[in-house]
Amino acid sequence: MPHIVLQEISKRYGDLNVLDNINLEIKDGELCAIVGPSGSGKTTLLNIVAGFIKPDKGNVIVDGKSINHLDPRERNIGMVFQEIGLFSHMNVRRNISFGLEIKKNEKQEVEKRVQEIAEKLKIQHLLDKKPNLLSGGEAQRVAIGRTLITNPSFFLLDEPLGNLDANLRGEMLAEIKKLHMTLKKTFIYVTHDQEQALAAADRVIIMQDGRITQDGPPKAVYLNPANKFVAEFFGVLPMNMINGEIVQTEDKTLFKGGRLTVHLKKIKQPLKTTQATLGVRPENVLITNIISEDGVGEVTAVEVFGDKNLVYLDIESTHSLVALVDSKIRPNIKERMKIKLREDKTFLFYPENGERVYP
Amino acid sequence: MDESTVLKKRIRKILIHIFVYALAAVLMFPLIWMLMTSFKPTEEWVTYPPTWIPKAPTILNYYFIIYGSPGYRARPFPSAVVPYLNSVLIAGLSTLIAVVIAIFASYSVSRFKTGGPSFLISVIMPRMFPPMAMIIPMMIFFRLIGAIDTYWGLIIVYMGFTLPYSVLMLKGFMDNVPKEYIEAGMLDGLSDWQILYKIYTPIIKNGLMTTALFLFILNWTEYTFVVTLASRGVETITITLAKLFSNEAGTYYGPQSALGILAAIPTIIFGILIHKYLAYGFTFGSIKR
Amino acid sequence: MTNSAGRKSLSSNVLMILPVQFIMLFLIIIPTILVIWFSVINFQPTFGKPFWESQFVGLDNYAKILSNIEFINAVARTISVSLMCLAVEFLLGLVIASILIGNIYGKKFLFPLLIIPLMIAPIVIGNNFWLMFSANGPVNQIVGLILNIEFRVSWFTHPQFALIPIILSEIWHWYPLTFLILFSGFAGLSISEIRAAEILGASEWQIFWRIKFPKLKGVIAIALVIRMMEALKVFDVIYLLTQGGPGTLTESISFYLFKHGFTYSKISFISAGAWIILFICLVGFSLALKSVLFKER
Repeated sequence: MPHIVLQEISKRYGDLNVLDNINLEIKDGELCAIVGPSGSGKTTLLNIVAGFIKPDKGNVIVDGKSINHLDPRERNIGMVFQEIGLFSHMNVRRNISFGLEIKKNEKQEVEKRVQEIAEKLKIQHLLDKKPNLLSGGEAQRVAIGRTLITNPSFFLLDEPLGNLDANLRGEMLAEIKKLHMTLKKTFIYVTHDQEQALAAADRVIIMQDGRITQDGPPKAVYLNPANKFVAEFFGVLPMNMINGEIVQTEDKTLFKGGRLTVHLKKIKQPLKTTQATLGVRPENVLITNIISEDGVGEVTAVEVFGDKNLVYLDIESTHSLVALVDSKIRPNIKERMKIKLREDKTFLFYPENGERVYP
Repeated sequence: MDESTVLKKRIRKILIHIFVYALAAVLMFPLIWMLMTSFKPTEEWVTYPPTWIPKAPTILNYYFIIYGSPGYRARPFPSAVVPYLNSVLIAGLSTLIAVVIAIFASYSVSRFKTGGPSFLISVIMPRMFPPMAMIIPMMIFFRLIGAIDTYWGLIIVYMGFTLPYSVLMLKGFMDNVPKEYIEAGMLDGLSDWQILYKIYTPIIKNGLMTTALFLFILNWTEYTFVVTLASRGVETITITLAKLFSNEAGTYYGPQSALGILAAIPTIIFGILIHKYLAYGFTFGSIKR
Repeated sequence: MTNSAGRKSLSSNVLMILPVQFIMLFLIIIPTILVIWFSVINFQPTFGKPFWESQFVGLDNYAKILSNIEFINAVARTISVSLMCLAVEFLLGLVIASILIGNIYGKKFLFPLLIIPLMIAPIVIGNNFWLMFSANGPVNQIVGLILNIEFRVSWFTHPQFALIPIILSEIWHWYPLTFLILFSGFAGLSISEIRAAEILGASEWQIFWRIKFPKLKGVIAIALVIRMMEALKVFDVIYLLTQGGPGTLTESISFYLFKHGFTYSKISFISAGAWIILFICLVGFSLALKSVLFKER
């Protein structure tokens, strides 16, 4: 039985359909990331699971039982908030012990637990400090510590890295991942940052305008995006998007955009229109002086990117084509390079709604 | 298990609603009584058992308030329109000027700690002093400078006695203006006056409205000073109300209640106009959001 | 004097406090000096002599008033009545604010309604309570109905009950102030902290006592101080309803000073009294105000 099931969850605010018939099954122990731009409904969904918002329709089911009627305090959930929300009038120790203090546990018990958690999160030295003196990273750890003390059955995280400096995010994300593996409990992680989702999650759920667009392991979402939005959303480097036309021949399909004529496998289903956008990631654009199957481009810039190079090519389209190549390849500006796109890593989308046409 | 907890919660909610509405009804009772009385004809003012809803409702009381009553029940009283307008003028003007002056002072204290604690203490001390004892000296002083029975004398007195609150309240709000905004203004090269005008004022709008309302209420309902310092020359509605009460021929409960209702209207209107500021403005700035 | 921007500016900040200083000086200092003067001389207008010709008597007036049992009674009575009113107003304001901050149907309509008493002039309230508590009034009627007896107490001349309408009128007038202050305090609280407490399992009660209330301590302190200061000056309702009676049983400080100052013209006497009151207030409030005036940023 799946641990958490969201059944037909819908919510409107006035005219706006914030959540539209969301159905989701989350397995026990999964680290499930829900990603999307702001306004996609992901935070609302999280708040519905937590119990702060009541859905207009639908059920939240945990371990087979509906928890719709339960208040947040009865749901035994650990939650980390975007604004962190540490109790500003209490020191760190009391922030962490809060969950047990309200249950009137024995003082020594509580103190022991607080120490355990503080050691685990390496915040013992902060125990007597007040939240306003903590750095973003420290505050975030305390917030996590606070949720651990009640041994909740699963965890909700709302943009946990939002208040951190960029350079600390990686470290913190690794710690969250480690925590997840130690606790072996279900984590639902909401973020608008695709990097975090790809790096940490077992499963990525993309939301757009209140609906789920795609659902799958990070690799699948990255390599096999369901639509233009998902394709553009993921990836450190933006995916190349070239506008053009589809031309069908007897045994092949061609895409013509700018100076490119890309050879693709034949599209069997009927086309709604011949206007299309081609998407290909920079790492899948090959440039070389030997093969020239898909077109030619003129180099306009070369940049260093880590241990590789980025080559910008003018292909007479609205945007340049960007290729991620080995550092040894350093063409000169204005040099003409031959372009080949990895056919199995190339996508076609309808420009109107982003729907995927190919493959 | 589901059903009973849902039911329990619903019952709890209903009980809370019943409680708060019952409480509101009790608290509104005096107002309702006043309203009813204002529509009662003379015979019903002090009957036993008291009439809750006037048997013969009349707007005569209101009529007398507006047009005065000639020889009604032995002693005539004039129309209350002029005193009403006087009240509007005096309370309004003194509130306005006091708030404006206080803005500058509280800005100075909040941002630069001008005058230190002693300035603030000197500002608040007058509020602790029993006004009764001030009356005679003030009368003497006012007579000396010819401020007795004048509009401006009264306005200045009102300002003087409401400044402590306005300075304190506004200072509280100004203390909460985030430092980053001020620093941004300084970086842009704004002068202190400009920072007050462009940065502080929009942020403390809530507090400003609340302070203004509070001051207006204090000024509008003030009686002690106006009766001693200005009763012959300037009459405000509080004086008219007192006159109606102590009128020897028997208290004019009806017209009094009517005037009471009418007198409550400006403050209520002011309150309604700024009610969205009110809810968030009454913390004197000590809560950071 | 340099301001925080480091520029040497004599004046903008000093200039800004000048109007306030000026008015306070003009208005307050001069009469205050007169009051001090009066308190150490033997000034009583009925004697016929103007005050600058009255005899200097040192601290005589202070001694006289401090030994006057009615004065002591008035002070004690005013302080205890004020504290009582304050407690009830605070409780009432707290209850209403905590309820109204939640999801209540008709909140938008209840809120302005409940604030109205604050906006009504004390004279009007006096008149109204006079009517309500008169021997033939609705209060007697209701009490009679509840206790099932004939109840026609004359409240304002009753030695035990005379203070009650006064206390009730004060509470009715001022509870909206604590209500407003607490309500906006609650409204301004960080929702993340409250939600965090909720999801950790805290009950409404626990959230109130452990999260909301502690954060409002500063606000509550200011409210209590301001309200206490005003409460001690209660006059209008006493003048209207009981005239301090029966006898002197409902005299407040202000009423006492009024009676002796205006009715008996014992100006010097009450001037001394006023300073004693001020002294008491300063001692009492300086402790409370210190924490309020300069809150740490």
